[in-house]
Amino acid sequence: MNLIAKKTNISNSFFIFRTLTQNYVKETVNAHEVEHHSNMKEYWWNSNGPLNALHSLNPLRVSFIINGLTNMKKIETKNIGTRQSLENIKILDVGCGGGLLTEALARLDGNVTGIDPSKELITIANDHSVILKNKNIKYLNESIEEHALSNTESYDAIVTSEVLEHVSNKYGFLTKCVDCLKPGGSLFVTTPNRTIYSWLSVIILGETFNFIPKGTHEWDKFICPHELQSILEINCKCDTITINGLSYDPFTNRWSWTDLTDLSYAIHAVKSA
Amino acid sequence: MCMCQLKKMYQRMIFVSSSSIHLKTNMMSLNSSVNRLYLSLGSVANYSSSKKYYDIVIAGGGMVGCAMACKLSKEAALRGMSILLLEGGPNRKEYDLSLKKNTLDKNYSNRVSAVSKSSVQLLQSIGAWQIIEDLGRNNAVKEMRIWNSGAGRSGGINNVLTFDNDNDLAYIVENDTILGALYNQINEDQNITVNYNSRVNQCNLSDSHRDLAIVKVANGDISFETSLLIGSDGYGSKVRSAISGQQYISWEYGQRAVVATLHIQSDEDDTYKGHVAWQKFAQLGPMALLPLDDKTCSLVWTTSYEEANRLAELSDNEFIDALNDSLSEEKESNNSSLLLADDAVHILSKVLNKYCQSNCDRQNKKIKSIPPIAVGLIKDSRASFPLGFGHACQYVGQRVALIGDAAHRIHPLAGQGVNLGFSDVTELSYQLNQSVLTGSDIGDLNALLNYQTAAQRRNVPIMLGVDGIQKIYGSKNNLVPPAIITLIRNVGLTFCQSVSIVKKLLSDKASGLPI
Ligand SMILES: Cc1cc2nc3c(=O)[nH]c(=O)nc-3n(C[C@H](O)[C@H](O)[C@H](O)COP(=O)(O)OP(=O)(O)OC[C@H]3O[C@@H](n4cnc5c(N)ncnc54)[C@H](O)[C@@H]3O)c2cc1C
Repeated sequence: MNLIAKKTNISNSFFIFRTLTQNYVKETVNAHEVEHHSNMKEYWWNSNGPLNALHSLNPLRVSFIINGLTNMKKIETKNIGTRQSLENIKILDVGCGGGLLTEALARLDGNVTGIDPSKELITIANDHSVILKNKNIKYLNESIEEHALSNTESYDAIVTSEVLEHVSNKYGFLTKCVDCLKPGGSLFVTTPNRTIYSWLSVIILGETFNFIPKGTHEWDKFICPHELQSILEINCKCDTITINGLSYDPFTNRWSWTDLTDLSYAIHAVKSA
Repeated sequence: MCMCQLKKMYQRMIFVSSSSIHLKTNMMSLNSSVNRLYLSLGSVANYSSSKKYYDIVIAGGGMVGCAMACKLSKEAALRGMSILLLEGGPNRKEYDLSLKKNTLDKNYSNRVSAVSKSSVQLLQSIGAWQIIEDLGRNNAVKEMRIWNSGAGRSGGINNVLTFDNDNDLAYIVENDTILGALYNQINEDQNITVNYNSRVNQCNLSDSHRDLAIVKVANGDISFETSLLIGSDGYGSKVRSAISGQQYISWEYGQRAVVATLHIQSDEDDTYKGHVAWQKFAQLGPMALLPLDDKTCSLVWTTSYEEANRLAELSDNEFIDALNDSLSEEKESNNSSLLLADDAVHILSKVLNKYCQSNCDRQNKKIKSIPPIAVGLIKDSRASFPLGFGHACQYVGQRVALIGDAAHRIHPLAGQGVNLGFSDVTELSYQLNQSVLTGSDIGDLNALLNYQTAAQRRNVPIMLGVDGIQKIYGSKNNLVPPAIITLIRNVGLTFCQSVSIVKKLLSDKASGLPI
C-alpha cells in the first residue's frame, strides 16, 4: 500500500517536472488570450448574452468561497448568513475580467481588489462598479507577477475563477498567487477538467452551439484536479481542503454541485501557516 | 515608464468619474440613513430633477404589496434595506384596527378573502396573523359544499361536493382586517416608508444592468430611483405596461360579482355550523357564501351584467328574495332535453365508478344538504365588481417584478386571487434572499427569472383550471344548446365526485397546499 502511494507521488512529481520544462514561459499572461477576452467587452455584463453561463455560475462560486471561509473560521459569527458575510476580509480576484465575481464579493462587504491584464475589461469593470455604493472595491490593470511585487502575504483569500485554463504557465501563476496570500489564507480556484467529457461539452457542444463564445478555450491548456492539487501541495505549500465537481445544464442555464469532477471543478486550498 | 504612468492616471480618472456620478448628499436630516438621496450629475437629461434612492420600491399598497414590504424587511439577508411603498389611495380609516376591537358589534366589511393555509403561514411569518387572531376576525372553513342547478333525476346527493379535510380548508377574513394588520406591521418597521396618495404614472426601465429603475408619481416633483421595482398595483398595473416586450393576455367574462354581507338561517344540527362555505353553480354563474360566523355570511354572486344591474335596483328585501330563489332554483329538472343529459351523466358516472373502484377509496358520504336561507343583510353592504381574466406573460424584467393581480387576475370562484398573490410574495422574497446572500444585486435578473419560473409553474394550472370551470358552469353561452351545457356541467360535477383522487387534488389546490 505504502509503495503504491509513493509511486503515485513520484509520478506526480515527474509529471509536474515535465509540465514545467515543457511549458515554461516566464510571463503567465498570453497575449492572444487577453485579446480574445478583451473582445468580450460588449456583452460582459449582459446576463442573457453569450456569457450567461458565467453569470449563472456566480451564486455557486460565491457560496463556495463563503463556505470555505466559514470552515476556516474567517467569517465573524455575527455576519454568517447575512449580506455582510465578507466584512473585514481582504480578497484578491486574479483575472477578474469585467468584474462579475469581484462585484459580488464586494457587495458582501469584502475588501476586494480585482486585477486583469486586459485594459478593456478593467475599464468595463470600473465603469460598471458605479452601481455599488459605499463598497470596498478596487481594480488594477496588471498581471499577478506585477501585483505580487508589492503585495506579498497581504490577502486573506485569493480567488481565481475560470482563469487557470487560459494560463500556459500554471506553476508560475499559482506560486505568484500564493505569494500574495497570508499564511493560513485560502485559495479558491474553479476551472474545467481536462477530460473527454469536458472536451465534448466545452469545446464541441459549448462553442459550436454558442453557449460559450467561439475560441474561448484551448482544451490542451485545461488542468486535471490531481495535477492542480500536486502543484498546490508540493510547490506552493498549500493543503487541499475540498474539491467539488460542477455540472452545467445549458438548457436551463443552471449550475449544480456533483460528486463527479469530469466537467468542471472547484478547489479550496489553504496556505500552510 | 511613461506608459506605466499613463495607465495609472487613466485608472485614477476612472475612479474620479465613477464617484462623481453618484454624489451622495445628506440633505435630509430626518431619516437620512434610510432615505438616501442621490443627486445625479451624470447624464444631461436628468440634470436638474432630484431623485431619491431606495433599495426597493413597491408600487401599490393592496394586500399583496403590503405583505411584500413586510416580508422583505424580515428576510435575514435583506435586513436594513430601504423600502418605499407607494399607494395610490389615501390612508384609509378602515385600516385602523381599533375600530374592529369592539367584538360585540361586528360590523363586517363586504370584501372578504378565503385565506389558504399557505397564506396564513406567510401572514404568521410577518406577525400579521397574530393581530387578526387577537381580533377574532378569522373564521375557519371546515367544509365546502358545492352543488349545481341542473340536478335533475340524480337527486341532491350526487351534486354535493364535500371537502371534508381533517384540517381547516381556509379562513374567511375581511380584506380591510388583513390590510389593517399589514399596515400595523409596516408602521412599526423603520425600514419601510409609506407614501399615500402617490399614484405611479411613469416607470423608466432600462435594459442595462447598470441603470437603476426610475419611478415617477402623479403630481410629484421628485422621482424615485431604485435597484428593484415591484409592481403590486392591481390588475390595471402601470408597472406591467412598462416592462419591455410585455404581452398581457386578458378577457372580460361579461359578468359582475355582486357582493353583500348576509344574515342567514342555517341548519341547527349541522356539525359544521358557521364553518361551511357554500358554492352553487347557478345558471348565470357561481354563487359563493363564505361564513363569517354562525349567523353571518359574505356573498359573492357572479351573474350577468343585466342581472347585476337589475339586482342593484332592488330594495334589500327584494334582493333577499331574489337571492333565496336563485339559491334554491331547480328549474331545469322539468326540461325534456335535460333528462337526456341526465341519462348520459348516469352512464358516465357508472363507468367512472367501475373504473376507479380498484384504485380509489371512495367515501360516499350521504349528506342531505339544505342550502342556507338568507334572512337579512347588513345595511349598505351591497356592491358589485366587474370580472375578468388576465395573465402577464412576463412577470419580470431588468430590475422589475410583478406580483398579485398585477401579474394575474382570476375569477373569484375558487377564492384563489389573493392566495396566488401571497404565494408570489413568498416565492419572490425567497429568491431575493438567496440571491443577495450570494452577492447578487437585489435587482439581478437571474433571481427574478427564477421567481418567474416558479410562480408561473404554480399559477398557470390553477388559473386555467378556474377559467375552465368558469367556462363550463358560469357563462350563459347562446351558441351551445342548454342541454349540452347542463350535460357538461353535470359530467364535470359527477366526474369530480366519482374520482376521489381528483377530489383530493381539488381540495388541496383550493387550500393552497403543494401537491
Ligand atoms: C368580487 C371579488 C371577490 C373576490 N374574492 C376573493 C376571495 O374570496 N378570495 C381571494 O383570495 N381573492 C378574492 N378576490 C381577488 C382578490 O381581491 C385580489 O386578488 C386581491 O385583492 C389582489 O391584491 P393586490 O394587492 O394584488 O391588488 P389590489 O387589491 O387590486 O391592490 C392594488 C393596490 O394598488 C393601488 N394602486 C393601483 N394603481 C396604482 C398606481 N398606479 N400607483 C400606486 N398605487 C396603485 C390601489 O390603490 C390598491 O391599493 C376577489 C376579487 C373580487 C373582485
